[in-house]
Amino acid sequence: MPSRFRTFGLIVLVAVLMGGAASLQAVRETRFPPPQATEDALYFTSGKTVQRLAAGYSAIAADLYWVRAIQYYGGVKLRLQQTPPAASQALAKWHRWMCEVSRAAAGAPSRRSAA
Amino acid sequence: MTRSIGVIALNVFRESVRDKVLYNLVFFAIVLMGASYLIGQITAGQDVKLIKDLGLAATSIFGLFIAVFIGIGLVSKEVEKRSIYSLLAKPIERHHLVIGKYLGLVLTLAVNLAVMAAALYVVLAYMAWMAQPGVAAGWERPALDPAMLKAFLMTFCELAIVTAIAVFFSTFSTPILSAAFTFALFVAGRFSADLRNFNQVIESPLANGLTTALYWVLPNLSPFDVRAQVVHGQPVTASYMALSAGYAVLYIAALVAAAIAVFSRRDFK
Repeated sequence: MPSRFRTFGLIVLVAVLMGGAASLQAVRETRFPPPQATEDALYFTSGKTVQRLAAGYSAIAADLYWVRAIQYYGGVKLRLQQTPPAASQALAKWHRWMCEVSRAAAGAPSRRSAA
Repeated sequence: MTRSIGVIALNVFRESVRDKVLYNLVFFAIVLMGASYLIGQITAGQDVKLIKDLGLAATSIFGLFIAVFIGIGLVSKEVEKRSIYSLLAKPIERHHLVIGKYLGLVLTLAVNLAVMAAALYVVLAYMAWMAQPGVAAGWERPALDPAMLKAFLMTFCELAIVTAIAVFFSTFSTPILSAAFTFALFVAGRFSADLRNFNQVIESPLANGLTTALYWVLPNLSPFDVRAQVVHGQPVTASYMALSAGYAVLYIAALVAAAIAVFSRRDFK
């Protein structure tokens, strides 16, 4: 029968090795950050294709997609909340200017000239 | 000690050859040759890229099945067949058995991957030889790109971790449950990056702590997937590979030590 001391030593060894693996993982993630998705698209354009891909598990696939969509929405909301007010004001100003330009290009009276 | 581990490892390799495990290589070669002919008919000059993708993916899938379905029976089969009694009566320690079994399966996987890599290069060499010069000029990377060996090496590291998981479960569980647990951990390992990002969308500190702990404890297998980078000619640096391989070695050592701890305490009476 192996001694309890030996088992305890093995458990400590497992913990140390797992800690070492996690440390190496942290170093790797610092030096080589995981790539972020460049395209911000979270939708499917073909319901039929999704149904085939779900392989008969359409209900659970829909649930997973729903959870994923909530996470996406929450992530975007949190990101926008963290945006500095000055930056968001500048963005809003830029957006208004772009609307003016597009209206002018389309030949429609702008809000300023209408006023 | 080293000799007995070596003998056990060699026996595991011989047993897998006797079990016709290497037949999958014939299937792999047929799939590649058939695909290279069919894909050549339906793609607009991108057949080499598709064959590379298919070959690397097939290598990973075949290796995964070998690692799981042989790994889960390595120790439990000896217990079920009662051959464990005659084995332990010999002058070998229990940890020799676990380490030897693990290394034997890793050797089987290494031979499999080496032959599959050679088969893929042979098919790609044939395609490069048959291709028109104008078509070959449009390829993103040359057909016989040595960088593909990096993808094979990373796949080997990933499969070595999966094998260690299977052997760990094999020391205390039935083969069916071990297969289920191993596949579950493999899937969790492939998607563990989602756990890392979970704290961005939930506010509960408890859930955050739990997901963060799971992220660091579960095997992180997604960094071993460099197939897309290799095929598209993106750099996979030596330091990235060294860090990933180091992570694999430490994680495997932890799993094998855990397997030894469990197996050493098992009572076979």
